[in-house]
Amino acid sequence: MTAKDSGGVLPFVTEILDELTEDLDVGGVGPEDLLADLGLESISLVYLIAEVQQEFGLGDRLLDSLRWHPPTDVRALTVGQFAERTEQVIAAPAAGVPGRAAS
Amino acid sequence: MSPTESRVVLFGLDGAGFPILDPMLRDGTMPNLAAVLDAGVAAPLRSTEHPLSPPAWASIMTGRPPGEHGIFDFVRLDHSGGTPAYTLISSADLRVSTVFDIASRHGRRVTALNFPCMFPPPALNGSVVPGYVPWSYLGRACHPRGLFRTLKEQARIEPRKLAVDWELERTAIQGLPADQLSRWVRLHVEREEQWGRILLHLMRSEPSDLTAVVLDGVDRIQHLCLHLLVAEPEDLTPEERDVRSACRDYFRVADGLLGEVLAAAGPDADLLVVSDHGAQLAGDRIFYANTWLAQHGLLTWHDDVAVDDASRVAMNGNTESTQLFDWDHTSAAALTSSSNAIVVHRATHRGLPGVPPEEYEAFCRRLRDDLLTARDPATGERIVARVLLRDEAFPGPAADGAPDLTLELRSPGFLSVLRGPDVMAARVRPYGTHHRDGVFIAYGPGIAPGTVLRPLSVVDVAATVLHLLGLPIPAGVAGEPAVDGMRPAVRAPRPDEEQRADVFTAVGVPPKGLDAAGEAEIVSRLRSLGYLE
Repeated sequence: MTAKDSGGVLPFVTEILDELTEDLDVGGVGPEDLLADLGLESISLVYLIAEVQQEFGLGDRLLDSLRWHPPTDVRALTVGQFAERTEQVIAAPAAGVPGRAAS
Repeated sequence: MSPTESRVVLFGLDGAGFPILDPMLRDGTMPNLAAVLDAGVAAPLRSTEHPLSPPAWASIMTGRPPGEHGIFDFVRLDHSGGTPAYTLISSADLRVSTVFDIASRHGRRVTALNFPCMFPPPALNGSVVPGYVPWSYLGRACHPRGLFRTLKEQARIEPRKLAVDWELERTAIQGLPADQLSRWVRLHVEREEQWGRILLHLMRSEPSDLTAVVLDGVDRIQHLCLHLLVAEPEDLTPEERDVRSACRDYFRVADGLLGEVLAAAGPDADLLVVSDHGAQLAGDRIFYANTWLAQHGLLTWHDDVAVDDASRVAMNGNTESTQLFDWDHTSAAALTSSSNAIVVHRATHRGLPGVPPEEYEAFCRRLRDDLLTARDPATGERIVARVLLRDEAFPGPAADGAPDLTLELRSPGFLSVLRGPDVMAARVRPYGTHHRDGVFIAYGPGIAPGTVLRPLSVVDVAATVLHLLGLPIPAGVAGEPAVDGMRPAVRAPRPDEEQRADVFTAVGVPPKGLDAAGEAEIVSRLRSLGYLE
């Protein structure tokens, strides 16, 4: 089942984070949880971004958005905010945005 | 033995060269590898034109040079945004099939552990634990899904020990004081023990026809400790001797694992021990390539970029090197230390900043000529021994993604991308760097002991693996099997080469997962390896 099939970004992101944190004694992951508080290495959030981009066929657009529009410390986002930001990128027109073709 | 019953173990020692191994083979530190050598064949294994782990391992995995497989560095260059940028490489960037793909397609089971360019993991017939993945993402990175949990429960792996301590590596890139080197080495001993647990668990519980692992501690240790390994013990301080002893303990552990692997593989498996490149002592001078470019009017620093006074090749922290430059007034820049390369700022349209397409070739040739005449202001010696243009260094259909000029420095080592006090500066700590000659050692029922091998290249490994497995070698594979080291019965040609057009079919159909990354944190991970800026 793809993320699109399962109803959107938040369930997909939550599923990933639940899997990654199952041994970290953080309980279940919810939309209000700060990404910085999940006990993950911050570098893992980059992998998260990449996996979400791939899942939704965003090329580099989410990465670029978080980098520049506006520059955002991903660790300071809640799970819900991260999902919202992703949905904004999905909704935004992709024309002229450099990135690899969606798979 | 029928070719279809043959099995191969590919045991990778990242950064190992015979100059490092030979003393330990002689003095009993590595008895298993010594025995393998005695009963097998060996040759130096020539690395890629620029010897660096991702392109070289990719060549080992695919049997093709970087210009064909598409991996040139830890990062993928992107010129599409108007200024050069980079993102982390992934398995999606590999444009051709690997031996793991090919063996899988032929129904053979494979195990691939700790190889670069394997995240997201391809859906192989077997098991994949990719290299270069942080511990907290390993749960999503292994194939098949569920393997990670199995390894934790049954192989008792500890992910935090398995993965790299990135904070320490970030510091270590610039060299470590002697009192921290022992810890550094021990950390890698622990890591290899973890990889060993995974390897042996899978060999025993789910044996594969092709089992492959990379131990990457060799290269990490040589970068910081090569000067101690090659020194005479009596020339070292007691503290340095302790570090040297710890280094040898590392090789003892690696050799012990090799012995266990041989036992687990059984007598009918062929073993290949290979490295992606070798090692050598770095020169005592560091080239600040971007400072040289600035002096030649080709690069403009942003005003707030500080001058490095510590002979560093890369920045601490997470700033990307692309942010150091005023791209409106920059025609070329070195973006990563690892590549030893200069990237041309390609103007996307006439009138925009950068080098217009029609001037590109002349620009590169002129830059090459200027680099070849560059002199160290302090010594008067030439700085650059060789400059390879893109299509010279990386010919092939994927060359457009390659760096534009690749430098071979007269004083061996990686260039600095920082703003230097001058174009050259003294190196403050001894450092090991890469050498093009790695190792190839083969042993097993298919190998004819004592035969003299022709000179081998990293692209020959995949063909050798496929030949030993009794599998056809795809037509596009550039390498040739090392049949001169094989027993006559095994030398016989394998099934007809496949006429598959698999080159570049991977483009656009990457495995599930990453297709672009490279943001600050990931870059810092690469930087912490000592290569990237």
